[in-house]
Amino acid sequence: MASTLDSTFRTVADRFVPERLHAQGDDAVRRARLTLGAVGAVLICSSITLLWLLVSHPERKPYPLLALTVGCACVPFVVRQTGSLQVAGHSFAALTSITLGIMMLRTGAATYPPFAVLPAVPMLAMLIAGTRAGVVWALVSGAQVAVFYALFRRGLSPVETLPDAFVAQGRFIGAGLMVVFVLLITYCYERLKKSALEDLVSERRRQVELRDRFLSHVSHELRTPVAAAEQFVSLVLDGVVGKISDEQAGYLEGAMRNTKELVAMIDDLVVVSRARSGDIDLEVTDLSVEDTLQDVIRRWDAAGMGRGVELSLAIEDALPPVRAHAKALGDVVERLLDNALRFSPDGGHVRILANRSPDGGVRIAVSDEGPGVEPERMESIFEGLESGSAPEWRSRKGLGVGLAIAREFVHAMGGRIRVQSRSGGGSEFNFTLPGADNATT
Amino acid sequence: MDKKKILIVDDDADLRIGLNARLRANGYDTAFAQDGVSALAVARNEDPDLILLDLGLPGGDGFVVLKRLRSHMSLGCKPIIVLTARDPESSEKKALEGGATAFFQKPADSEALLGAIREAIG
Repeated sequence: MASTLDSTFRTVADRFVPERLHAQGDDAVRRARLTLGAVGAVLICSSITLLWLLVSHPERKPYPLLALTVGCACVPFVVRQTGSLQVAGHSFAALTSITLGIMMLRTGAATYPPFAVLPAVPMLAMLIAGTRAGVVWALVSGAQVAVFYALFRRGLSPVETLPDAFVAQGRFIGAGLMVVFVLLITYCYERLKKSALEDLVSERRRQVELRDRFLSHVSHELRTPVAAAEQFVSLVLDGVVGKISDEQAGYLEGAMRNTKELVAMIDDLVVVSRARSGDIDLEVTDLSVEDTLQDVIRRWDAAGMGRGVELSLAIEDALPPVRAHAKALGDVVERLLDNALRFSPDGGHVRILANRSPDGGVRIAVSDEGPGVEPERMESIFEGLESGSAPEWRSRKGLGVGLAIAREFVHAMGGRIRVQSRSGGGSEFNFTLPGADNATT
Repeated sequence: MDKKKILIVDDDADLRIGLNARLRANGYDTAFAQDGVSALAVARNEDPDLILLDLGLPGGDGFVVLKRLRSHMSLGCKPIIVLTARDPESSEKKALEGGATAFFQKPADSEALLGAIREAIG
C-alpha cells in the first residue's frame, strides 16, 4: 500500500519535474519532489477548505486562504517551466503577497496578522531546495511569526500597537507593508540568482582545471615512452652504436617519422581539447605576414615536406602589419599546407597568396589542385571528425582535427576562415587577420 | 684532459640508458640518479660538471630539486638543463626563473641538446 502510494506520488510529481532538473542529479530531483509534494498537499487542503467555506459560509471572505491557494497553484507550473525551486518559491511569495495586498486594500489592516504566516511557506520551499538564503529567510519569517504570535497571545493585533493616527490609515499601511515585502523578496531573489551564477562559474572553472590537469598528465605520460623510443632509434640511426646499412637506415628513418607524427598528434590532442571549450588564449602582437610565411616555407623545406608538389609563394607588395600570434599563425598556415599536400596530385601546384584585405588587414590563401570540397561540406569540414564527415577523411592518418584547430586559432586572433572552390578545380582555403592599427576589441 | 661528467636525473630507466649511450658517444662521462633525494646525494659525491634534470620525479616536485641544487654551495654554479615531458607553456618560464640554464621538452632533438651541453661546458 505504502509503495503504491509512493509510486503514484512519484508519477504525479514527476510530471512537473522538468528534464533539466534530472540533469542536475538525484538530489535535486528528490528535493523537487518533496517540495512539490508539500505544496501539493497544502494546495489540496486549502482548496477543499475554500470550497467548503464558499458553500457553507458564503458571507465569510477567506482571503488568506484564497491567497494561499493561488500561490500554491502556481508552484508546480513554475517548477515545470523554469526547473528552479527558487524561482517557484519566489513566485509563490510574490503571488500571495500581491493577493494579500489587494485584499488588504479592500478590507483594512486588521486582517494583517494571519497573513504574516503565509510567506513562511516559500521560505520553507527554498530551505528544502537547499539554498543558504532559504535558511536566512526561514529564520526571518519564523521570527516574524513568533512576534505576531506573541502579540496575538497578549490580545493585541499589530494594528493596535501602532499609534492611533496610523490606525485610520491601516489599509494603506498594510498595503504598503506588502509592497515592501515584495520588494524585499525581489532583492533576495536577485541575490540568490547572482550566487547561483557564481556557483556555476566556479564549478565550470573547477571542471576546466580538472580537464587541463588531466590533459597535461596525458600529454606528459604519452610523451615519455615516445621520447625513449625516439632516442633508441636515433642512437642506431646516427651510427653511435655501430655502422648501419642504407636499408637499415631507411627503416629506422621510417620509425622516426612515425614517432614524430605521434608527438604531433599528442600536441593536437591537448590543443583541440582546449579549443573545443573556447579556452584558447593568444597574446597577439603586431607582426609581418611576410616574415611568418617565409619562416613556414623554410621549415617546410628543411623537413623535406612537400616533395612531389610544387610550392609557390606570392605576397603583395607593402602588406600592412597584422595583429596576430606568430606561432599560431605559422601553425595555421602549416596545417593548411599539410591539408593541401594530402589532397594534391603528384606534381600538383600548391600556392600561398597574401593580399591586403578590404578592412585593412591581410588575407592569406592556400590553394591546391586536388579534388575540391563539395559545397555541402564547406562548413562541416572545419568541425573535425566528430561531424560525421565522409569516410575518405577518416581513412587519412592523424586525428582529423587539423582544420578545426586552424579555425580556433584564426578565431582567437580575430579573423575568419573558409574554403572556396577554385575555378580550375581544387580548393582554396583562405583566412583573414585584422590589421595592426584597427584590430577590433 | 679529464672528461666532463654529466649527471642524469630521470626516473625513466630507458631514458637514462639512451641518454647515457648518446653522451658517452660524445665523449662525456655519466652518473645517474632516479629521484630528487638521491639526486642531491649523487651530485655531492660525483661532482658533475652539468646536470640533466627531469621534472617529473617520484617523491617530490622537480622544481624543488632544482631549487635545492641551485642553493647548494658547490653545486649551485653548475649548469642545469631541464629535460622534461611537461608542456613548455606552463613549465619553461618557471624552470628558467628557478635557475635552469636551458629547457628542453621530450622528445628533444639530440643535436640541439648536445649543442646546449657543449655551450654550457664544452
